[in-house]
Amino acid sequence: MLFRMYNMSKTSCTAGFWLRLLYEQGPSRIVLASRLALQLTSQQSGQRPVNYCHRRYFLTSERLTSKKRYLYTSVALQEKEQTKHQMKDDMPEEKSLLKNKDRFSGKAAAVEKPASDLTTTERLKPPRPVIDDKESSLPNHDPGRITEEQRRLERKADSMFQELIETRGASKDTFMFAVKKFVDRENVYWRGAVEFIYAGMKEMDHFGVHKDLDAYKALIQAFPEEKMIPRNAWQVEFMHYPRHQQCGIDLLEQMEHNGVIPDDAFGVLLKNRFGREAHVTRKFRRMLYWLPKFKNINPYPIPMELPLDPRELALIALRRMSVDQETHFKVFETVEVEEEPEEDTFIASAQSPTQQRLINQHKTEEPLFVEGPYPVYLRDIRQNYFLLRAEPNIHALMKKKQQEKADEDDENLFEWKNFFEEEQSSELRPILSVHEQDDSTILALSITGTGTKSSVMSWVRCLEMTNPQLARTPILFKILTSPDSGQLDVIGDSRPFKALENTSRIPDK
Amino acid sequence: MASSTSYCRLVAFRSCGPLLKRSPKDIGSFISKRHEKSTAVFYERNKKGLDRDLKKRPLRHALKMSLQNFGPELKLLYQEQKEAFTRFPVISVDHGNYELVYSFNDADSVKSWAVTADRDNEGGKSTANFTFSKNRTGLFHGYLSKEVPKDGKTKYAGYANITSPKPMKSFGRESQMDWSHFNCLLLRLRGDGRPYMIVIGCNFYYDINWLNRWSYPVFTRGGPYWQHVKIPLGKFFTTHHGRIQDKQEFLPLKMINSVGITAADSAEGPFSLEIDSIALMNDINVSNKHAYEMYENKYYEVQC
Repeated sequence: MLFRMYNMSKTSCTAGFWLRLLYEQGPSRIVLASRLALQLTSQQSGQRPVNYCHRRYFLTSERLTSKKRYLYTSVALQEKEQTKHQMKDDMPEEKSLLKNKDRFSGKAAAVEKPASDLTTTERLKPPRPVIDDKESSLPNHDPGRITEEQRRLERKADSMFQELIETRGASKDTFMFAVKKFVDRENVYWRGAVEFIYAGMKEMDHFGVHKDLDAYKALIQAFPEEKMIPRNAWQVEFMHYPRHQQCGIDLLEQMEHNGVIPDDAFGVLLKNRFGREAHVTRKFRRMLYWLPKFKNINPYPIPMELPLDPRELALIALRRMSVDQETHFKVFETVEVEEEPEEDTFIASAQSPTQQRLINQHKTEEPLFVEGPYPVYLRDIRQNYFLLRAEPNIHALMKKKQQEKADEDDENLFEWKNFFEEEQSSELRPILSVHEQDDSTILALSITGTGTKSSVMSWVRCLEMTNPQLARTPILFKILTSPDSGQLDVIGDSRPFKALENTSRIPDK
Repeated sequence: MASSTSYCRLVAFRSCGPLLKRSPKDIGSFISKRHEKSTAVFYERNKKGLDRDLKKRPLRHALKMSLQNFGPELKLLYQEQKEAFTRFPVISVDHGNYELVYSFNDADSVKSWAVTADRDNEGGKSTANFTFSKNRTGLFHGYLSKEVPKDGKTKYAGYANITSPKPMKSFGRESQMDWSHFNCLLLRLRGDGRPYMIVIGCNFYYDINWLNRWSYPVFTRGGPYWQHVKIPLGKFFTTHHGRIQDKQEFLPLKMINSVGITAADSAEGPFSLEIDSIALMNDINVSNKHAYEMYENKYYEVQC
């Protein structure tokens, strides 16, 4: 225990990687580095510039003739071509969008507007990172440690991407083509592979391939095969080809951050380049062990690919928030609902029959509250929701509390004295519904497109269609100007209940 | 269980000040030294894992505080001894029994928790706060910012944490909690849809173990409904310095000294987590085994 070695190096997964994965099949955009991990990621050991040592090539056990090398390369390229075609066949973008639509129209039976009519818009791609004289895609930003040669190679890689974006546009195909072009060009000395991979890693967001395993597989093939495989334990432990391995580790870490789980084929590519025992391969093994273990542990799962349509997103968030299984979900359009609409937006609303019953039972002289916007997250997508609530039902809460106490004191709870005695069904009925909490009674939830006060008022008018009682009840609007402004506070107020909690008095209804 | 309030009183006794009371000058020196540490060194300078010495109070301050607190501390020692003799030892705990470890019923119990965000260490721009809310709960809220400081080395940012006070005995001695009668952690909370991480720390003697933590995520569904979360203690995985370890160990239940909650997913924006209480429970339906199998490494490589 005392003398065990702890892995503090970058090769082990950060404790925060569970946040990166969304526990379901596949990638998420949740990224995190815990503070400690952050400190470690920032402690990259000072990398000395490594010259590409041609001597290594002659020292390899099996000398590769140029012909053989050519063969290796062409095989690798054929593989890539194949994956490219497969990719084209499997996942055209329009198709996947359609799939999404179908899925949602199937599930959301209560959606008033048919989901297939919903328009989808492309999510904006992040802008291309600009590498100027001061910044660098290379991990070591200390300008003193980046040599002129590295700078030149980095600029070369950068200009290649720039050129391809201009001629072919930023897409997955272009990214794959860029890697192919690099491999074609540098298949003898593989000069600038590290710089190319770092440049590629930085470009991935812009190309939209940061969650694509194929792109990572392509990128790792910019390293030469066989050349960097360590041949003894010393080479293994002393980080054979440190700069290349560090680059590989950084690539794997980027995958981890984007929630991409490597597969066995990726491991084969790595093993052909770095050997089975190298630090990169160890990190790969760790990722392969831990990431699939954690990808499905979220009890409130979020779809792997979040839809682009805000209506669908709102429905997913509402479904996730609603505890009541009977809840009905509806999407209204303000232009259709309102006679004189102030704005053209949508209102996603969630209300269950129990909540409707609670509104009906509510006294018309006591006000209801509409509160919000409160933030709710689906991975890194933030939406704001509003709620309709009433003051807590203290009478029922106290009754429940007293019943719990009585049940605790009841020593004969599990003893049936009279076999023929019938149990009254009303005794078993829960006193409180899930909506009646000690701080407030929740009556409905909604997410509107704009989150403005007028859209929330239209929501209340929509609710009046199914809850006629609402029209006769005073409703107070408590709208925060912005959730960012620090006004964020807890929902409801449990002080009235907690003041009475330890007394035996039950207030009147 | 040590009550959380005893810690507040004894902060002055500890050789180091609370985490947040660091002067800007200190932060500067911390930042400059932070990168010097090599990952190959196991030596830890202090229990916080910092690369600088914690600020020491002058001797006269310690003398003054000890003289001031001598009476009350002696009283506390007497109570401890008395309790040790009179307390009925807990031999076993029945199914369904639970014990509140931390409940945020009053402002003091909320105040005693330490709040950290990456802004405090100049590792980012996130802010965090842990306040006593009108629902008589603790509200952990703030803003997570993904903006990476331009120090050239930090790669990712966006982190906030709250950590419980360490249990203390009389005369400022560090103590520990014994959780061995229980097998799951219960939390009552209400979140905003983000995942949060529960981090449990232990009271280890040797520096090599100081930064060991046992973590497991807690998922919130968002919205106004309260959640009851039950996490089997066997599911907590070993981390060291924030990195998950190949050799996993079961959480050492007899030497627990801190519980923390971390908010650090990549979603930029405000976060809020309302926590009512944290409790321990014994559930016979929950496995007492460690949830992670451990493979022997047959290769000649350092198993970390």
